[in-house]
Amino acid sequence: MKRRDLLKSLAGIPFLGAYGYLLFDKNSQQTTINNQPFVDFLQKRLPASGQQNIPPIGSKKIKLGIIGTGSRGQYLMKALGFVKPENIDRMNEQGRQLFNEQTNLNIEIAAICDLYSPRAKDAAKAAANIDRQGSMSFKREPVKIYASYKQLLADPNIDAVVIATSDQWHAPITIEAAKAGKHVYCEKALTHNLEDVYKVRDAVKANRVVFQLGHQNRQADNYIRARQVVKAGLLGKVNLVETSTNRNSPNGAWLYNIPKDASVQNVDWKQFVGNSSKPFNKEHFFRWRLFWDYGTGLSGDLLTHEYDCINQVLEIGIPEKVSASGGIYHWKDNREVPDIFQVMMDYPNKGMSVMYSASLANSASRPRLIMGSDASLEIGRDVELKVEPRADLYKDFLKKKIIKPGETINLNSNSEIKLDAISSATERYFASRGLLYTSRNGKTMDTTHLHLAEWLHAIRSGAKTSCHIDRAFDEGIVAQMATLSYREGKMKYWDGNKVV
Amino acid sequence: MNNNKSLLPYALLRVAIGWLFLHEGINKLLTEGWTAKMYLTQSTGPLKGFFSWLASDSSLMTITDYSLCILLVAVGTTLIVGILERYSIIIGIVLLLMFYLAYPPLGDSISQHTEGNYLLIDKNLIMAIALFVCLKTNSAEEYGLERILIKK
Repeated sequence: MKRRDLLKSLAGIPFLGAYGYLLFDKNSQQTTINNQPFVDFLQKRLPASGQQNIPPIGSKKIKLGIIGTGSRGQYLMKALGFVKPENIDRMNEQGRQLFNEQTNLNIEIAAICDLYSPRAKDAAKAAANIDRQGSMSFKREPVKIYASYKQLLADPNIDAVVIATSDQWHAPITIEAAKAGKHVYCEKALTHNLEDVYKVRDAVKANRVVFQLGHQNRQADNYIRARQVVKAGLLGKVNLVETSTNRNSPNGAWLYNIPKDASVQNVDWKQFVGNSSKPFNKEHFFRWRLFWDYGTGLSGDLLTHEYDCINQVLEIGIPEKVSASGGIYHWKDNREVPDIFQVMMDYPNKGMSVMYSASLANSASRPRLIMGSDASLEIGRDVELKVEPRADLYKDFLKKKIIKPGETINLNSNSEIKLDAISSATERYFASRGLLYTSRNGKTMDTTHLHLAEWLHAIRSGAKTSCHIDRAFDEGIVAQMATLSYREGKMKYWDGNKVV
Repeated sequence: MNNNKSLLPYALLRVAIGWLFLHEGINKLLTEGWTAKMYLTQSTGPLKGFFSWLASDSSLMTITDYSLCILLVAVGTTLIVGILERYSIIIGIVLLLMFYLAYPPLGDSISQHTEGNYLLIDKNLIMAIALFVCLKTNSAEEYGLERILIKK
């Protein structure tokens, strides 16, 4: 064999050698630091998983009434397993698969109420679609439509109601439903005004109905995990929390579509405005979130989500002081509610503040940040711990250079606790799922579906819901304090019983 | 047979792809507790049923995990040194097509957080095509151990 042949045939060997050398070099550098003590430290303090079980489905069929079937009402119906046949036709394969895999909750939607009749008819059809069929095979009669929620609540067949109306109706309907002995799932915000927060709480408690407020974050893995991290004391003393809302689209700024055919003939305007003499206004009816008479602005709409997430993780309750500011700085339309909004919530007795800021004209991704004396926690799609340089709790690990200050330590319940975040395609793919979805037993699930399932399970079993009336009361008071502070231009105080 | 000199780029391509395979395999072997289970259960493509069947049983899953690692290392090593070229390229293409079919890039990514944006064609498919090019050029007969086996 020629020398040339030999050299060419061995051409690949140096590459293999180079690879081996690089790998050995990399690993020998890594193994000089033994991570095990820190992994043990975390494992001792943290439960293995933040995941909960899927609420069991009971044998008793629950009959529901749906009050309010706008976009959120339709989403809730879908999360309950009911979609209009035409909308099933329109689903893409992935969407249909996720929907079909969603557990059957053993419920019947017995009646619908909506003040815009075409929407009520659509919802009645969706409610009848118990087999999740497309339009080709669907043949059932639509369910009953009531013209007013009062008639629906008087129906003895109905065990429980889902309320997804405009904000000003949440409290009146919840109170009447509770008095009629119907269990309630109510969308946020809890109420439209301060007095109603107390009235709703008292009505729910006095009538012993099962109540769930629509903050589905309660079911999301990352928040459940963050709660475990805080409870384990891994942050030291929490002193500041930063949270935000960032949206930048007409839809995100509540400029919803107004149906062309909408008129006094098919909109029950009188009922919507509570029999006041206000003239019919399509924009007010379909874009109610923009106006104080019907909505609660950023405070009730989006601060409530963020606040409930923080309350879930820290269990801090109502702040002693709330001040809010902002304005209508971007969307120069007819809106009355601010599009830029900041709220400072102070807890002097707990030695901490919560800072919320919102923009409806920028969609930057800002993670929720919980800052403690020993570490901070970023809660986004992942749950990430970053240790403070002078953290007492981590002193030994920092000294031995097992962990570095500011280094990201991923504490996701789905992945194992490890320091070198080897982000395989799997992990990245899994982590990429947003807030709307969470994982249970390796399956992707809609958090709203789980939140409803938990409520139904509580109705059947007497178990407690995660966003029960006391947590809802906290949310309701905070939203009202922020709204009042913004509208009055004053700091609002909570004295333990009332807002002053 | 191809012009000898023109085979050098193909040989480099083969070695580079081999390096990628080898490192994927070694990395998985060295990562304690690594398993393809989540990857398989979350699969969206036409092989979803097959993948969830693989993931459904723990002993089957262990076999799958080890076979994948061993295949990755074997394909990687043989591609680099240039031996058993045809077999390792074919196995490599099959593996890549399985990765491709596990998450077919149909453009409707679940969120903005996933790396890159792909519609029908993704890096797995391009790598599979690159291996197909390698299959056609037989660069290992010029630059690789196969040269010894062929030329006496």
